Amino acid sequence: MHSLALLLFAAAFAHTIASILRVSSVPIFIVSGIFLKISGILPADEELRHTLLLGLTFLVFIAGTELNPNRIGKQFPTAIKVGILQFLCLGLSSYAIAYLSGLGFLPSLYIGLAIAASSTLVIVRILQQRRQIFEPFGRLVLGVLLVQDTIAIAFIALLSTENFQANEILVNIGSLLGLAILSLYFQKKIAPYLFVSLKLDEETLLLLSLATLFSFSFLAHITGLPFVVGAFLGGFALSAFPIHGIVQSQLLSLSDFFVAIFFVALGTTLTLISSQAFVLALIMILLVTTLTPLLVVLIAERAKLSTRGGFEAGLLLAQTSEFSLIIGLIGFEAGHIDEQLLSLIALVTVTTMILTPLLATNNVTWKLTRIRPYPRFNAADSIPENHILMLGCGESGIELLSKLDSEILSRILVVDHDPGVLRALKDKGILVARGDAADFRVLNACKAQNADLIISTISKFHDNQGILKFLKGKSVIVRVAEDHEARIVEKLGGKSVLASKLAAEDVLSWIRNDSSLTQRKV
Amino acid sequence: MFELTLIRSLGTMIIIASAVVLMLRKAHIPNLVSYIITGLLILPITFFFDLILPGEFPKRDISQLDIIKTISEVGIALLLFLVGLELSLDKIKDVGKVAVVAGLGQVIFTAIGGFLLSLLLQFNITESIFLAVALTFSSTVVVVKLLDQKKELNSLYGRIAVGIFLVQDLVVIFVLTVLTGLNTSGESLEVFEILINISKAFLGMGLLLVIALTSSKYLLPSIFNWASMKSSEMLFLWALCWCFLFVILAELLGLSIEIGAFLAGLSLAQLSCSEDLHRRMRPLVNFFVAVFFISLGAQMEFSSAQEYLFSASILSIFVLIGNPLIFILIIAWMGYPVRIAFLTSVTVAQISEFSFIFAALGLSSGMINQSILSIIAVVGLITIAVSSYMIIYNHWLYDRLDNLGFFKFLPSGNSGTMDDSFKGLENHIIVVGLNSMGKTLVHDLHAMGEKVLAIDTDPKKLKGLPSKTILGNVSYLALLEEANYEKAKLLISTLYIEDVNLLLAYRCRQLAVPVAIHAFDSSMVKDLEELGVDHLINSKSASVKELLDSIYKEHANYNA
Repeated sequence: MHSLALLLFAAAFAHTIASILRVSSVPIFIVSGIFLKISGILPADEELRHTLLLGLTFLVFIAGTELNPNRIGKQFPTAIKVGILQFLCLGLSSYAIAYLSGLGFLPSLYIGLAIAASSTLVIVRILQQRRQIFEPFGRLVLGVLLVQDTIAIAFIALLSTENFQANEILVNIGSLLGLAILSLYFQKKIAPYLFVSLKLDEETLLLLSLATLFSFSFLAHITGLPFVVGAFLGGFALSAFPIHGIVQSQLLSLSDFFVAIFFVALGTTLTLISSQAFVLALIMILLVTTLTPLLVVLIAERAKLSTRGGFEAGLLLAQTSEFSLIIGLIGFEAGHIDEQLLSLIALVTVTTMILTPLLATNNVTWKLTRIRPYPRFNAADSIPENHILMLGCGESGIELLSKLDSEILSRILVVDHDPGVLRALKDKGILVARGDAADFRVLNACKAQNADLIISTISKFHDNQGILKFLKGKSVIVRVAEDHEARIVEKLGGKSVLASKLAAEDVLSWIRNDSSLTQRKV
Repeated sequence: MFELTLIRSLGTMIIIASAVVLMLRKAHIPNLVSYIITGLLILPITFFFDLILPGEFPKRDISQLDIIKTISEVGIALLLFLVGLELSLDKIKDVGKVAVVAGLGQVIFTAIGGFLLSLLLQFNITESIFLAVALTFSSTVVVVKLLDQKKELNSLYGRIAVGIFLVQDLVVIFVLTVLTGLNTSGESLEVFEILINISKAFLGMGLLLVIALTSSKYLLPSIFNWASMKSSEMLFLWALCWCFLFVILAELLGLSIEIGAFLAGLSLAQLSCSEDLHRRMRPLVNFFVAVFFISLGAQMEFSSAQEYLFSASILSIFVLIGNPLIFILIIAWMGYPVRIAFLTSVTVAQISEFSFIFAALGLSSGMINQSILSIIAVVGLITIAVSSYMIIYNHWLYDRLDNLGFFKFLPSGNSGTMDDSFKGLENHIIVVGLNSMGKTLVHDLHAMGEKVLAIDTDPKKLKGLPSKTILGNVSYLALLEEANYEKAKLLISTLYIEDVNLLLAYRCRQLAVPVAIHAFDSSMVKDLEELGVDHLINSKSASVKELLDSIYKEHANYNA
């Protein structure tokens, strides 16, 4: 139990450091593992290897449970495009670089795969912290991650063949498809019965989730696939609503525990790398951090997302994944790559993961956005004097417009980046301009300084702050969600509409008036 | 490739256990009994599968794997840590006296009774001593697991039971120390050495207690509160570290894992985050403890059980009936209500996993033979299984026996009620998510005279509210149950988390609890409507009216 305790102490320490530095804990876990190894206090025993294996299994399993395309919504087609293209471009270029630097076919392939995927653990955490998980670009990023995880798992299945013969690969593809179909069948038919209809207690639910994990792992193993592929498909079998939600809380504690000690244990297996490998690692880091934003922005723009949204998504995706480490570890265990390359992959992952929160900021996004001149801004035909400028037009914006009479509507100019919404408004005779409403150049082009009233329903508060500062002295109304945001708006000279308070009033009046509620008998 | 022994062994255990639990579900068999049955079945099942798929299943006895042993130990540590978290020092202090008196009294009486009974059954003196000691101790893990499941750890009888187990644990350390002394020094018993070891254990206990007490007062509140502000994951990791730290300390001081982990939990119990920690810890504990029980079952050795079935049955009856009887007498004699005495006494009606270890030690030192080990295994299986039922249906059992007049002979005669029957909230309104909307709702609903219960994961947000509050994550069903949501008049979620909102809607509709959910994104509306949510909160469209007013006002100025 002592190895386990040591790993845990290191993990808790690393998590604290990560929290103070405001970076993802994953890279710090790994670094703390390296220190643990250097210090020499960790006994090199079986427990460590078992921990690594269990952690790996759980990590992949949890990733599988997150695999639910419904959560991505409308962004799914774009996500598939971005996911596949990013994976291919990054994978191929890193493969080429590795191959040219003298590594063989197989090691280069592993490097290519490891560099291609982005990290779910890092990104989801940032999105949650910034409350952006349900914004269009947030959903896009989530979708991209799902696609990449799936591709990575498919490759892991293919790489497990011994001699890379065509017939072996075909057999593996067949097994993979068979198991995937079984997993889907389980998800649709068996899981709802076991996890919902039987109304089991939480302990039994946990037991059944784990049994699903191990059953699929066994099946994968028996059919000649790596067991992690089974773990992933086992997770997928539990990913549908409401089963995912029901088992998630049970699995959360287990994954927190195993994931933390997994990364620390992984750190203890790493080694010092040669100067040649170090240079290669630096090139890879540069590749990941520069190529990814560029690629994503190009694809996202074509998919009608705003340039800024594209950069935001691209910067967020600019790191390698915990899956990279898993791919590396599997390659290492299979004898396909050596300790040096595993450490190289870990170095790239640790560095890019630490860089992500530093790079994926509003400042960097704006700077990059400015480099691209006039990002898809379609100016309105002719802007009337003393107009009313509406910044951002979501569903509530459309609702608002539908309640205005034509006299007022003739004074309104709507700025948004969704071409679908703008087309519909234009058909109704409303003046529209397409572009990023938080971009000052767009505001100038819309003659915001001449407007009588500016209404912002943009949900990103940071953008609203910028707009208020830019339009100082103008009459600006901003819709906000939180009290402290309202105070900042007033301080900056704007007028706030506090949606949360109004929504609360709405709920209260429903409670007062809904007779079924007051008559409910318990 | 990876060495898959662990995954195979663990997987085999978990899959068979799931099947057994599902099959025995209808018979209301407690999970832990199903786990032990799983342990018994593992060898034949893996043998069978080995015939179909040679080499795919572990041939070695699963429970003998080092890592499975480690997982079992971690399971015990975490379980006792959980118990400590549930109880605080104040709660355990008031049962100290009864625990010590009843614990020691029971140990003495059961040991003597068991010894005499064994002699009557024609075992020799050494064998009788071993049997008596094995019968004396009850299983902390079994009882605590069941009480936690019944949510009665915190009740008076639960606390007394935990106190008694701690006393027994100390006696176990005493016995083990003596036994190791007997083992190592061969024929000559080093009395002096044993005395030193024993005093070391008691000193260690005192030292650990002091560390736990002082840190819980001066050190832990500030650092754990800081961690809980940062993230719940950090809190979780720190708590685990604290637990392991105490376990290691206990080991160094010659104490048991159980005592170390329990004291670690106890020192965190009074923190505001302890409830949340308890919920987060439970799934982890359930997993590890399941492995413990399965390997316990796998370890049971029945090779010569048939010949001794009669003796084993008699001894089992003694444990199942005699042990509780001794207890009822002691506790009732100390002035506790008969109901409390009965409920506490039922918890000791089984033998402990320690009994197996103890017997195995005896076997390895050559003092007893295989037959005693088999008898202890049979007694263990019978008493753990039967007493699990007795504990689960303890209130029902008491009422039946009381009706039959079983308790008339007892001194106090009164059938006092439970001191702590939990009075749940009813007709209350639960507000989940204390953002600005949540806060406004809590204040306004409170002002309207509603009973409000506020839930959030962030302790800062719960500060200064006029209502009752719970700190924690609503994804855990346990938290909703604690909030008594099935009796709530309404549940409102103002969260900006889609998954959790959908899950809340689903859970509430399952029990027909009225529910209002924040549909902060239009993509959620369809799902929520399909789930039958009573009221959709659309914060964005709620602001439309006010925006309209502003526009009209401006337009009027413009026209003027």
